[in-house]
Amino acid sequence: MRLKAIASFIIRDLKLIVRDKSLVFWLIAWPLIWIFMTAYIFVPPATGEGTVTIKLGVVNMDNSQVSFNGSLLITIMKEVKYNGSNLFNIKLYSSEEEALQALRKGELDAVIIVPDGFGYNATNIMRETRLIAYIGSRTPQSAQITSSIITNFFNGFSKELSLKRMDTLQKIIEQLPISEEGKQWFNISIRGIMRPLNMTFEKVYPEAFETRARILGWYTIGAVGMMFLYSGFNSGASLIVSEKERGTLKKLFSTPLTEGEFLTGGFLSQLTMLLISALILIIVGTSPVIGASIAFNPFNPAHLLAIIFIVCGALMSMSIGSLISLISKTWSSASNLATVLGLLLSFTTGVWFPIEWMPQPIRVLAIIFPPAWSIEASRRILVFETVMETLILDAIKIFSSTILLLTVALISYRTMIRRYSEY
Amino acid sequence: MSNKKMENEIIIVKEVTKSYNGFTALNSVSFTVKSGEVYVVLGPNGAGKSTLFNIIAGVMKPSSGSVKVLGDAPSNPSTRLKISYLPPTPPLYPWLTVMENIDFYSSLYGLSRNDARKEAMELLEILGIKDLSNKLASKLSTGQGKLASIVLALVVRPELLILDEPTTGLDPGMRRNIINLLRKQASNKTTILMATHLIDEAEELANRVAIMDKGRIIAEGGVEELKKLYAPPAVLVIKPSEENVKKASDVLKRHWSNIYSSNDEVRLHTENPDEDMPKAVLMLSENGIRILSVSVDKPTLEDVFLKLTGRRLTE
Repeated sequence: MRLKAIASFIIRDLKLIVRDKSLVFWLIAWPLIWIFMTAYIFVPPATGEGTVTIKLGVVNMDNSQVSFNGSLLITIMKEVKYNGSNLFNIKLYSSEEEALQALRKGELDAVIIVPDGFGYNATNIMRETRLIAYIGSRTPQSAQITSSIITNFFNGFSKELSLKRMDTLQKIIEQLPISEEGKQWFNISIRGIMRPLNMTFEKVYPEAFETRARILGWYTIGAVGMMFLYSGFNSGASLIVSEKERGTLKKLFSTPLTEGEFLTGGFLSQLTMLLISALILIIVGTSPVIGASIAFNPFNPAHLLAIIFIVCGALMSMSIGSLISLISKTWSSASNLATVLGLLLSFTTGVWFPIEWMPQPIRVLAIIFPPAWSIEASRRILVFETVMETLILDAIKIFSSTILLLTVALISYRTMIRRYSEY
Repeated sequence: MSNKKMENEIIIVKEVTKSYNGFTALNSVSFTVKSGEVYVVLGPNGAGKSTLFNIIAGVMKPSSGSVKVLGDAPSNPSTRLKISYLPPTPPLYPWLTVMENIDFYSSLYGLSRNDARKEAMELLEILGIKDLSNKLASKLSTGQGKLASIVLALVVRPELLILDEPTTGLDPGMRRNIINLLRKQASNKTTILMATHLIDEAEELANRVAIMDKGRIIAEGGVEELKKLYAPPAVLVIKPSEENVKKASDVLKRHWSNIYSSNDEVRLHTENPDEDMPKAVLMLSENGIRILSVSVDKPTLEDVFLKLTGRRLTE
């Protein structure tokens, strides 16, 4: 195999990167658009600092003439702040029907009905206090967020109420003519009855997701994966059919170029383009404009393994592209099919959107789709900083599937060359 | 066959047949091309010329029969090193300049960039397109693309040059430049195998001509040899008004059998033009057919093709 012939393919196609605007768009601009959107829309710079304010309609039917009642509850809710912002934007309604109508129109996120006797029940240690909440569902996400915030608020409120009641009970027990041990037993038992489970919640993020920069690092690797899928598929699918339609295939095969040199040269030139594009995406992603954090140390073997995984991801995507070329009769149909399939798979196999967002049946795709393994393994190294020892199984899976897919690609291309040499 | 004779035969095509999808593109084609010859394959579109050239260039396999080029199989890379094949469509990469295209292809032949560029500049100058060397191929006109492709083919200094319709779509000036360049190549002992459907080109360049029709070689030999064998001593070319061509042909067929008509003329193959011309003019006048011009021409390869197939090459 002559290196000069192979190198000439790489030199030829590198010029394409600077001269073909549509290629620049798909290789670099499109994934960058996603990185920018993520950095400034989906994970904006103020992530974690802002709060959601719930538009809450309240119908107060409580007429209790006690120290704590519906009016006081509304005053408290109006005052509740989280990270400096009001948690609720409250609007009062005179009837349940009127409030629900506003909820249905989408003017409110939720409605709380404070029934008559709420204050009386709340201040009486032996009574159950009731509230009714209606949650609006403009979108599944908004309903989930509203429900979660209201539930959390009233859980906290209920806890405070329990503590007040326990204090009151304790005072009553103090007055009872029983031994100290008996009083202590009563106190513990009451506490247990009132709060059967005293659970504390602390949010512990994976180390990688502690900061916005790391989240963006996750998405930057995702953008590389997304670009690999549609561009890699496209490169693999177009490798031979593009030469045929351009009228260059016959000329190439009339030169001393061997089939092996042609396939190696073509594959390496496409791989080089994908890797240059990946490098640009990572450089822009980690630049101050985006602010992604990706751990990379050239002396860390695990980090070098991540590069190999990335190369494997590109090779596997191109190899899958070769299969697309087998079922496409023209360059444009191969290219269109490759782009659509690549984008679809990048959104459904955990490459761009986290796999946890996908319904259970779709998750199977990520499990069986080898290019997604290489992207995920690279993320574990470069974003989660996984150690080398935990990557052995990944490496075996990724290397063996790369070899397998490259073999399939070789067979596909040879089949195509034979097919074209027949006509 | 003696070894000396074999060495002299650059291309040996033996009983080559090519069929696909039930269609026979080539039917038992055989011929040989000798070293230093300009061998022109003449035939109408669809005659099988391109299929034949693809097989000789090693990019297509025959269904049966054999092809030897420079004593070896054409698919052998060492054979290909000495061959340069130019398909009918310019094989240029649109995002590369003319010179970059030349760099790319010449590197596949293992040529050094400097040598190739030096040679290319000379060829570009001869063809009058030196100023296009840094122009992107996508910006070239069809004719300019064809000329640039000729440079691609010649820059590697092949022993055998295979050209499939190299001048189709070119204006007369460009065509003249190419013919002159090919003549120069031929004088430098480059063997040239060329396909065309242009009579004058074939007559001007060819040492030997193969006439192809419907996948077969129907005649082969030197230009004059073919004319002697198949063409009459003279051709009476009558141009009636366009709407009367068919009528004129029908009238003349009553008296002569060798009448061939096209869109604008009727050709009468004749042994005795001095006698036949006034007779034909009179017959047409008597039938009310207005004649625009009448001339007696020497026969061309077109007349050979007419004689053999009853059709014109460009039909």
